[in-house]
Order: sequence, then C-alpha cells, then structure tokens
Amino acid sequence: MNLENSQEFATWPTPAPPHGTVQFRSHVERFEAGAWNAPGTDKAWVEAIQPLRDTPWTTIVRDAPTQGARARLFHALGNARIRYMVIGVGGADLHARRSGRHFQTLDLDLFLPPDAANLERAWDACERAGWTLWSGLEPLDEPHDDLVARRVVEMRARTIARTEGALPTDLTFVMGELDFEDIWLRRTFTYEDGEPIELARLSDILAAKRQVNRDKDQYFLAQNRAVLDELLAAERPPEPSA
Amino acid sequence: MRPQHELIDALRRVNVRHMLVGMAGANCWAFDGSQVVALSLHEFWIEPDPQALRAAWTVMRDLGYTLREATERIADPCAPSYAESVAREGRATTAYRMRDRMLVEFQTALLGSTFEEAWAARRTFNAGEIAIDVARLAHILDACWMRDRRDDHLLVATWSQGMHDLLEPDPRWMAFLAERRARKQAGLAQGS
Repeated sequence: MNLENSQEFATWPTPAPPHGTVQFRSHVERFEAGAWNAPGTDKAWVEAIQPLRDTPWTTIVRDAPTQGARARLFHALGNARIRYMVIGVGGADLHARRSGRHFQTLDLDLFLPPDAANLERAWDACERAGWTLWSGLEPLDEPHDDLVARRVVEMRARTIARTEGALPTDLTFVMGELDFEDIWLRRTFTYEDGEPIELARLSDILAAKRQVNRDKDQYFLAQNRAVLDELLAAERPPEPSA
Repeated sequence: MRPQHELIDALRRVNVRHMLVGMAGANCWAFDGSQVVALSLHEFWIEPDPQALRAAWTVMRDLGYTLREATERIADPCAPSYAESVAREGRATTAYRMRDRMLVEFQTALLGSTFEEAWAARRTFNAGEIAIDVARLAHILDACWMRDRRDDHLLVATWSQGMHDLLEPDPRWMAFLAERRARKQAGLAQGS
C-alpha cells in the first residue's frame, strides 16, 4: 500500500450515503446493533450534554455544560503552543457569537498542520486537560508515540478527543482542499471563558464547506444563508472612502 | 427528576403506550455527543387510541401543562369525539409548561410505519431509574426524511455522516493498527 500517495489521502473520509440507499440502511442497522445501544443501556448522558434552553421556541441554544471542559482544553492547547484553528460549524458559531447569534454545533473541529510533533503535543495537551483520545469507535492505541503520530499525519486520519459531558472535539488535517499555512496567515482569534482561541476566518470555513459539499454542509449553508452573509460582510475590510 | 422523565414515568403509570421519536428519540441512539442534537421539543408517539390519548392528556394537565392543537387550546373537558377524531386522523397535539419551558408534542401517526410495527421493534433504554421506550432509529430517520422539511433533512444528513465516519474507518489506518497490535503482541510473547 502506498501511503505516500497524496491522492489516496484525499479520498478519505468519504461522503456519507444518502437516505434510501442500501448502504444507509446497513449503517442504521449496524448502529442499532452497536454495543452502546444494547437494551437497558443507561442514556442519562444524552440529557447531561443537552444545552440550556434559552427560549422554548428555538432550537439554537447554548452549549453551556461543555464550557468548563472546553476552556480547560483551550488553556492546555495555548500553554503548549499548539498550532491549531477552530473550523467547521463550531468555528462559524464562534464568529456568530460576536454578534450575539449561535449555530448549533454537534462537535468542534480543530484544524492542525501535518506536523507529527505538533500533533503529539496536542494529544498530550488534550490528556492533560482531562480529555481522552479516540480513533473512531475505539480509544487511540497506546502509547501515543511518534510512530502513531507520524502515521496519523501521513494518512490524514482524524483523532477525536472526548470527555464526560462535553461535545467531542475532532483533530483533523483536512479542511476541504485548503492549505493549513494559508489559512493560518489569515486566522483571527476570540476568547471563551477568558481563554484565547485560534479561529479560522469565516470566509475560509465556508469555502471549505462548499468544497467538501456533503449533504449536511449543503443544508447548513442553505438554512443559514442570510445570517452567514451578514457575518461575512462584517468580516470584510471597510470600503475605502471616496 | 428531569421534566421529560417525570412525564415518561407518569405515562407509564397510566399504561399509555408511547415511544420517544423525532430528534429526542434519535439522540438516544447516539454513540457520542457529535450525534446529540440540542432541542427544545420532545416528541412522543402515543398509541392512536382515543382512550390512551385522553389518559395522556389528563396526565399532562395534572403535571401542569397546557394542551393545544396547532394554536387552539384543547377544551377541558373535551368532547369524547374530539380524541377519536385526533386518533383517527393521525393529528398531533402539543403540551407546554411555562415554569420549565417544557414543550412536548404527541404524535398519533408517523410516516413510514404503523404504531404496532414500531412498538414491536422499539428499544428500551434507561436514564437512571426511568425506562425510556424509543422507536427504532430506522423508523425515526425514515419519518424525518418523509416529512420533507429542511430541518429534518439536515438531521438525517448529519446522522448519515456521523454513522458513516464511525462505521467506515480508513482501511489503511485499520491495517496499520492491526499490524502494530500484532507486533506488540509478538514482542510481549518474545519477552515472556
């Protein structure tokens, strides 16, 4: 298997099957049969992760219960001088919060450069902040050494940091076809609970979503077009005065 | 006790067959938080039987909820024929409680399957000491898709991507892990 072939990297992860296909049905059945869905499984954690309800008539709400864990994570990443940027809907949400709006996020995506040493330090920071590392449905192989880090970078594989009561955080090397260094130069930052957060520009986040163009990206862009346009306009430099 | 658990407990006590459906139902099937949607509405599928429906409404009123169909309040007491028509026509009613802003929807029909089919295939989970009957994930996602609303399609697409990412890991990565584990085991065996 040729791991150096970058064309191969671009093919993973693959887009999800649409509803109604055999593969979709198979995924649902496998999911229903998963050990975490055995009859009698305690699902109290599902409620624990639910955000507070600001108003009863909207589903766009805050993820307050996760803030303590998130702040610890960002603090640890900052202390370890990790190069990362928040991207995805979580990143768009951080932009929207500046004007008092929210997008519902189901996870947080951190975009990392393809640098094994940076990744290893990021894993270390996650664990010091009390998060555990996963690869798909399994905990990440121990020890999290240089060999694993290099292979993860080579394969552009995604690792996931999880902790009790907080939304999972993906460590990813893929942001559509965009290059980390380009995005890094244009990045901005924000604060959450007093912790600084490196944040990709909204225009880059949306450009990546358009490139990837999965079903869920299309729905997100279509559903929030007006708000996103307004936020993008605020991000642009002011028009030169005549 | 959380308001939704209080409600589920009360429905069980009066033997009203019900299942959690919609986003709240899908949440129960999640592997992790990346599939848990924040929500302000709990959707229940109540058996389409006028007697069960009346019992459910009584429970809700006793718990302090106000009942409505669309924007109209449901009379108390309501005419016997009203529950019959709601059940027969598969209409939905809502219940809202001001003190904790709890919003509940009672469905009497779901697109794609009958109540008895779904009831036979339901899964019972726990939340602490409360048992929660949840419709099959397949039934929930099918019904969302058939409702043909943008929110519902977003939920199905998000679920599909989430399941796909978890169930179909990169085969090269899996091969690397298997090889590494085999090497580690061989090393341990040699060491012993």
